[in-house]
Amino acid sequence: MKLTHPIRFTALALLIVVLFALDLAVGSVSIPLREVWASLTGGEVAASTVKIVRSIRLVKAVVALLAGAALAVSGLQMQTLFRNPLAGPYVLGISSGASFGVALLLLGAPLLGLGGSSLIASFGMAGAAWVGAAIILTMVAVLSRRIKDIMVILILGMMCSSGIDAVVQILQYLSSEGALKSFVIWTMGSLGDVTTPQLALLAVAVVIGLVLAVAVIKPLNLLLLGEQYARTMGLNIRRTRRMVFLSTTLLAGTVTAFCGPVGFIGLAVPHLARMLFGEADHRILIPASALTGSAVLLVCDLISKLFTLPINTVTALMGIPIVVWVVWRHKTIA
Amino acid sequence: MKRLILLLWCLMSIACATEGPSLEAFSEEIYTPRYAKGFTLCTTKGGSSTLLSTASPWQGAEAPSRLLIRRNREPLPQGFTGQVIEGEAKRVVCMSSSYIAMLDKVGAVDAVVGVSGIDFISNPTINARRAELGDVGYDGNLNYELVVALDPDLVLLYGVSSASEMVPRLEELGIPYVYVGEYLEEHPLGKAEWMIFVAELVGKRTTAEEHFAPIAERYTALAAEAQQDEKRPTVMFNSPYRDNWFMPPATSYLVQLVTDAGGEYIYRADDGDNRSDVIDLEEAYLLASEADVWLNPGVIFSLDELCHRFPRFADVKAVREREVWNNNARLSPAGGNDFWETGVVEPDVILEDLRHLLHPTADSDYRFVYHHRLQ
Repeated sequence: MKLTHPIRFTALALLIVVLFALDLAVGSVSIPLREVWASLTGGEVAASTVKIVRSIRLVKAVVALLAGAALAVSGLQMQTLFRNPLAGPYVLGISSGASFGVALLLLGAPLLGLGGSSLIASFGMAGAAWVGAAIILTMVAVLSRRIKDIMVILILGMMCSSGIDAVVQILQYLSSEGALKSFVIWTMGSLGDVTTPQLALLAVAVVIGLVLAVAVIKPLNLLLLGEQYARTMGLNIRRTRRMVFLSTTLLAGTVTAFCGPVGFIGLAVPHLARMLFGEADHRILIPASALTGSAVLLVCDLISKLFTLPINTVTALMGIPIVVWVVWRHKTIA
Repeated sequence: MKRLILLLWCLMSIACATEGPSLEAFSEEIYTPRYAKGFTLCTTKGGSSTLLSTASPWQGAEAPSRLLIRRNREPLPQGFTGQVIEGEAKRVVCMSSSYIAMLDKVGAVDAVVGVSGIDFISNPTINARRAELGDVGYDGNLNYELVVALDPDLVLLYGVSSASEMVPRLEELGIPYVYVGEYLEEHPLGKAEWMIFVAELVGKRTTAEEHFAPIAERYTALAAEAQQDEKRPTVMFNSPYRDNWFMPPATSYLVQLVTDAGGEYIYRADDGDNRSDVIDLEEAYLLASEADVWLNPGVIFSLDELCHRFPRFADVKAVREREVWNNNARLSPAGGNDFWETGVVEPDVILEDLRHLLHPTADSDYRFVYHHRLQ
């Protein structure tokens, strides 16, 4: 059976290439394939076509590629760390933290009379979201140094995010309609609002996050056998946790900062990867989740473009059946 | 060597020749706003380019946002960091329906090539041209592909509580934009006066001035007439949302209209800021039971509906005396309210409506435009 893994990886990679090409070819403006190709290769086409293909479609497709891989890998790490099939990149409160940052910027700053500050404006939603996410994870990481039981950390993370959600609700409650609408649209996610310099930042963060994830492959495999066993095998659990938290902040935190909270990819894709490869070994699962994540988010982006829906609704509608399937298969929650 | 020096000298003189005027040189106002506080239109002495400044691109912004309409290849001002368009805009994308009303007023609605949320727009010309127009979506989730394909000269946008999220992306795509700050104006004529700013963008400023002058005149005359009234009916706004009631600030557009129409806003909380106040149902009940007129109770079309939705308020004075009015007489099929579109450039018409509903004896066969009495 092992022999088939390379074939599966090749097939997945080919699928991504096809989906990536499709994502470049499809959009609300119909551009003949020949012109899409010419815009990419510097052939003779209208300047506006080149702009659409290179600055909009290409950027968006690359964002989908990176964000899909990042969310899936951070979700996988969380599921292993917490030994919980329903964990995802957001269980520790990253998306709540990011929403809190954005809510403070969009809703809180005007209430405090800081709406005009050019410093705050230049910081932008992405900066605010990233700082919000990082603060929450630092908080969880600091708390987790004193706590042995990973389940306690899980509960603390969830309580933290619920508390922050409540504060965000207070801000929403006091805000004007216009500010509220901006915030709600942010929570629906968007892959197309990333500028080229932001894309560079996103790429760097995702690459570092993935390298960290590869570095914890062995500890994660040990953790599959239980924390006690891993400890007796000489694993430094706290160091592993720190690495995983850092990797998740870089992966999910940065994606959330630039694209808003994109749900279900991080939760559903690791299961999809397990199903496709029939493996629990992280040496296989990490690259498999990354590739599957890219492919799934590219599909979601295609659907969101074809039906002009916000990306988050599409990922939810695609992800929910997978989650239902997982619960159905496990039947018991123990 | 001599040639090199000559070449350098030539290059330097070219560099000096293209050096433009300073920003301060744009001090000749081509139009002085009388009611609006948020914009200026200036040019240089003997120049033909226009510098448009939006004082507050979003609520509480520290620095103005600028756009230069460059004419006759005049040099750019020194160190200019704002937006530049060459001559008047011929293809514009409007992120708010009120800009469409302004362009329509000066006969330039054909310049609109893209809109945001087409189903919520009432303008008949825009609706007739649905097929050829692009709906670019909303700030935060914009269809940039379509924006580029529409090939606009200019995007008219707004910032809510911070800079528009579109700005970095538009700058990257090289599409000029301008902040229109009409929604921050509190005086109804100030809001309407922005039509002159918008008209300047498409080269129709003088037409806009001709349109605005009689509107201002009519509004002022109606308001002056209302000040003679001895009785000033008290007015309650909005409706409960769950167990809260949002009251507009005393300085707001709606309150100004009611005051100018000879009414009195029943809620007086003078905390000086221009945010809506949230009051609880007890206080709201007290206010609502005293008010002579209940205005704009939200998405409600009949008295039955009102009593059914807010049974606790079914016995207040305004309901008993059938003095509940709403401003949603003109809705687009999807529910966009023309009060916030065309109404922005017709404050005189709105004022006349309010005048008749607050003082019904004045003219019994008056036909209301934006308002209707809940039956």
